Amino acid sequence: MALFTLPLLVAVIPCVLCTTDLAKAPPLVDERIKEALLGTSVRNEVTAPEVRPAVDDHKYDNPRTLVVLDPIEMKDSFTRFFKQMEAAGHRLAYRKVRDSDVDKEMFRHGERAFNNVVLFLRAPFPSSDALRSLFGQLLSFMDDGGNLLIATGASVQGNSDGSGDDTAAVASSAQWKELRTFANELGMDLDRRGWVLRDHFAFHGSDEGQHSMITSDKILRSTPVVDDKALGGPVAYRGVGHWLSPSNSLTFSILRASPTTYSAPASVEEDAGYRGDKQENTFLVSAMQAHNSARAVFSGSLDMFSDEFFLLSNVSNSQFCGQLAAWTCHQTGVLRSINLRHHKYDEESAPYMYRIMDNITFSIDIQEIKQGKWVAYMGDDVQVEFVMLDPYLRLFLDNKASSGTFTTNFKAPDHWGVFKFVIDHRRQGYTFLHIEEQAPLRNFKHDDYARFIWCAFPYYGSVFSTIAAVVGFSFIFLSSA
Amino acid sequence: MSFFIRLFAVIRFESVIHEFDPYFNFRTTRFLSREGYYEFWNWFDEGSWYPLGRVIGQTLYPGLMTTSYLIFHALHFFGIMIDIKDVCVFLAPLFSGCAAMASYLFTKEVTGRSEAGLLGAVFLGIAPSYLSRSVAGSYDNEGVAIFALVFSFYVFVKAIHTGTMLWGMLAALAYFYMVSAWGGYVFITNTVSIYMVAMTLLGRVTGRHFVVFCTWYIIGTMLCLNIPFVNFQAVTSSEHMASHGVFLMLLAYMASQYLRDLIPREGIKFLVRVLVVGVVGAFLLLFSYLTITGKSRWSGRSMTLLDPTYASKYIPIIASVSEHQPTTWSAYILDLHILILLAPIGLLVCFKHMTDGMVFAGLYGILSVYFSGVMIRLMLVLAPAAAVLAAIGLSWLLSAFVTYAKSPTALQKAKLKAKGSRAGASLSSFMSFGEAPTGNMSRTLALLGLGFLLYCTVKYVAHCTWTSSVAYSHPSIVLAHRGRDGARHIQDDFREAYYWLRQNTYPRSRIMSWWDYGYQITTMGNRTVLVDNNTWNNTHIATVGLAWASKEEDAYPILLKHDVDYVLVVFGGVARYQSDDINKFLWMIRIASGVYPRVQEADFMSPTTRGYSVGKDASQTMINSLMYKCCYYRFAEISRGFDYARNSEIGKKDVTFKHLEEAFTSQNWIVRIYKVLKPPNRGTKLKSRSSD
Amino acid sequence: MKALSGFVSTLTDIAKSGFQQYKKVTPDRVKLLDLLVIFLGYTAVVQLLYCFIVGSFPFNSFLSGFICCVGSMTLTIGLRVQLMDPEEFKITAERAFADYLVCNLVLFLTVINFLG
Repeated sequence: MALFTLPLLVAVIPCVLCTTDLAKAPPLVDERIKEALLGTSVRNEVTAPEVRPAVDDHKYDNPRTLVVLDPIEMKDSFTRFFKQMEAAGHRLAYRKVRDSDVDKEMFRHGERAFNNVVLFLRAPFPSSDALRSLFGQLLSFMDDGGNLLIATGASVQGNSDGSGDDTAAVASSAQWKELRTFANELGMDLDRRGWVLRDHFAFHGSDEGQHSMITSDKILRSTPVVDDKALGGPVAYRGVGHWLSPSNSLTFSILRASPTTYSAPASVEEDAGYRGDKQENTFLVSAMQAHNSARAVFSGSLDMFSDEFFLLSNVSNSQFCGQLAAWTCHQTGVLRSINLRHHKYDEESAPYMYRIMDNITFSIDIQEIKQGKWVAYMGDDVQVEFVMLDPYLRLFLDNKASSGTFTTNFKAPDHWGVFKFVIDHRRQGYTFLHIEEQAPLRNFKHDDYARFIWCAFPYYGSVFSTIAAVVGFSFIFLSSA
Repeated sequence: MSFFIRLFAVIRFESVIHEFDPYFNFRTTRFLSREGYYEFWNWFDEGSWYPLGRVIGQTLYPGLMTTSYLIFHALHFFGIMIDIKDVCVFLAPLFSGCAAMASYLFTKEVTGRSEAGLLGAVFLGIAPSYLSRSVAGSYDNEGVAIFALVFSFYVFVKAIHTGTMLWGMLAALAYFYMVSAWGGYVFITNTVSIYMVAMTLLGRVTGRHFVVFCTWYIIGTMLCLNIPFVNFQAVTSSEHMASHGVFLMLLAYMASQYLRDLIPREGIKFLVRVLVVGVVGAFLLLFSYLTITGKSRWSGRSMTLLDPTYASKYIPIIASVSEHQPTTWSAYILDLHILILLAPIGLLVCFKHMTDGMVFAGLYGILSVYFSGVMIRLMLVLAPAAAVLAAIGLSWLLSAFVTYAKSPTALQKAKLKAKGSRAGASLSSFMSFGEAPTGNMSRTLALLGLGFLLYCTVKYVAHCTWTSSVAYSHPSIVLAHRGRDGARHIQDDFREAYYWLRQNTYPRSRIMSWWDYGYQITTMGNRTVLVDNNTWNNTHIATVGLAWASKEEDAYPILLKHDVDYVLVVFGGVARYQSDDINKFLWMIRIASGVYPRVQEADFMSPTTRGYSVGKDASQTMINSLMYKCCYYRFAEISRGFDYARNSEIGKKDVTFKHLEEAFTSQNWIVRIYKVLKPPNRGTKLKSRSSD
Repeated sequence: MKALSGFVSTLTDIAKSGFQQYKKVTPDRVKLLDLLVIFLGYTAVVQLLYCFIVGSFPFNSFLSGFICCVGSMTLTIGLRVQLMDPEEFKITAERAFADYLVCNLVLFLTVINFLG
């Protein structure tokens, strides 16, 4: 008989347990489940946080910048540019390419030691081996989060005094190949070795030679890169052009050449009428912002930054280069997000798991850098997505009263699963803002359903009437026996 | 004894959970013991089937976990602080002991002889097929379910014999325990229904049967509905239709019997004509309507039972499980030994001495033989039937021989006794084989017969012990083999890899592997997986299969979309481990091609031999697939490219990765884990237009 | 038309004679049981109609209500069979009734659990 009570027990006890709860779990048991299962108290982080090197502490107001010049005497031709940078807060350190330590200075003990690298190269270039190792280091530097500003000229064609010297040194084939490979890694394709840009219509007045001192006013507009409305005139340029691939979404151009610009071999005389290749979209200065928001700006003209060009009339080189350097070195156009909060509409803190059809509030503060200080971001098109493999919801965030706090309220979808909030805000000229925060949705617990459904009352009634009938009947039955 | 025979695995290795499914059961039991029943019932697990999640609380059979939990708490209450893992490991042997007891009760109830009962207990307690699923460490539903099965049958037969409603209700409660424990409970439902049909056809239905069946049916179905995993299937699925139909049929039958008393004969004839046509026609219409419109459908596994080729044509996942393959003859002998020979004798006895219980036992035997022929896994259901029938057969044989072996005076007494008591037809006085023994078997021959039977049973026990120790006692999570010098080498790669995961990856990392390892990764590695052994979502599994079968560049977007952090493969080329992922790869392709037609099995076959090959003649699709690369990365370093599991040299020895990076390889290269890298920081390199 | 009326009259004749036989044969207690059976059957049919009309939205409530009625009905029929045929069952009426009550109790418990 004892054996027969076992199934009875097993049948009845779960029902009892649900009400008495033998393990006496405390009310906030969601937290304990997570601790027990994960063994840590990490909330909602899905991957390990990135470690920032120490040099990034003063990245925005007092950055350390490595200036690599070759030959080092070039420094004297760019005094105004470097003074501008120092005025903006940079701590500059000057090195030669041929310094064998330059490669090792960018990383110290495995950690990046500088915030930015400015590289000015002109013929005679260092050896292709030195270039290769330098460029390899620069790419690792950029992948680690450092910014690059690179300027190079094709040849010494066009010395500082404007004379065209045909015996100018040109990069050797191997050296140019290294340069080209490096530019390809940055998504740019350089012109042929020894070819320069010329323009017989948009050139600066002081150029009496082969019109290689071109000007261009096709500057990228309405982005934080350069404030094109404040510039006083076109930008003067002398050097090589390059092209970008239209399918690469990480690169974009900052300064384009006028439609009348063409490129031709450097040694051709002006009157030869050689037309060379006329390209549609020759780019003069362009940028790549990598996935980790590190910026690399490439300019095909070294002279654009030189003192000589700064002092020309009717050009805005000094403002342009100053703003360009500021943007490259993450002093403008930088966004950050803080205070990511999400919770149920009537609660204060985020639960471990939401439930389907919950009302959820999501808010985040986004700030942007202005003059070394973080101020509220004024964007009006920030979106958040609620994603499980595909976005189930995509909502605009509301920038209430321009306070920089972006919020939205929504109702969680009807489908359970491991969802995540995704903000993927990519705007030209700003750093990428990509945030993922997991927010699982669970299904209804068995007591989350409505207790009584009004249209089921007949069934409730029938059950109780049956019970009453049986009870009544049994009374009558027993009394009549 | 049945408890001890199952302990070989624990002695040889350690007290660890075996295989795959038991890990899930263990995890749920552990969760239950820590969090309590309320959380367990409503458990939404976001650690498996990422990112879909799985509602575990409502999609499992809670009987096993509840039982362990109760035992665990009972022991704790008495001060025996035993760990939940040990409760789980030893639960199956414990319940096999209970099953043996239930078998004793069942056989005794059916035949009325306690010696048959004892034989039944012995046979079931050590039957190898039951043993295989209930060794210590095999913490699976079947361990408890077989006990519940035999016990339910026992209570049902007892109910039939006594005919009271109370016993019918107890039968329903025992059935409820079975429903809560195993998906194979439909076997009970259908056996009982078919039994009723058989009784009707034999004309042996009385009021007792009616009362008991109706009570059992009503309370049983209502209890089935209460298990969340079964829920509405109890009334809508085709597996239950038999019981509904039989219920109606019995009602009609009893009604017709009753009406026969009330209404004169001509009226009866008239009514019968009208009603039979109407009712039968209506029922057939309803059934075919439901089936054709799909409102009630057979589940895939049931279809496989009825048509064994169904799964291989339509549902590759079911066909790919090795337990679902048809049974071979050698498996019968291995698993049941002399029971195979004795069971037909028992069957014969059952049909010669038709009582209610005997018919039931015979029917149970026939049905389980059919189903065990379809799937190896169902050999388990045959085990109790074979044990019971064999016990009946053996006890009859023994009693026959014994009566011959006894002295002649005793023989006369036995004859008289048999004659006198046969009139009452009471169950407990059967002594002889049908009629009184007429022939004259000499005493020595009878003794020889007895001796032969004794020898057979002793061999049976030896065989069972041997199978238990050799064949069924290795935990598949720890491998062992003998080296050339005879020493035993333990290969503990699985656990090594899972503990590496647990200690060296971020807690919320997501692992992609084939579904076999899902339960083990979530339980031991404590990480989120994409697919696991529950296989409830075929599309998700097919997506994982697609990722494995595609080139690395094509698989990478799938990995990114599912936020995969690590990829895990099982590779047996170094350790001679046969059930590794390369051998399962064909099934991955088949499952993926069911949902994504661009993956075609023929592309992965060798173009020259048209066979499955990883060697020099392997097809390009095969060599470029992610699975191949993950398995054979750096393989040439360790064995110069010779794959010991497939005994061939591999085709491509220099595997390189663009988006993955090797994170861990276990000691014998059985488990290999790769980390998925982020997309390249600067995008893809531009291809220059100029050459200068 | 004539066949139909003939059909109907045959049926009514059969029903009448059956009813007479019934009143003669069954004891009072069993008649009480039959009354209960009819009442429960009627409740079950009403629920079925309601479900057809309104739709089966809280299907679990429908099922539990329906099975409650049908179940009690069946148990009552079982009790009736037991009472009508004592020598087959070898139990006293009180024992049968007690069994009946226990079974009903279990049925009601499970039904109420499934109702919500």
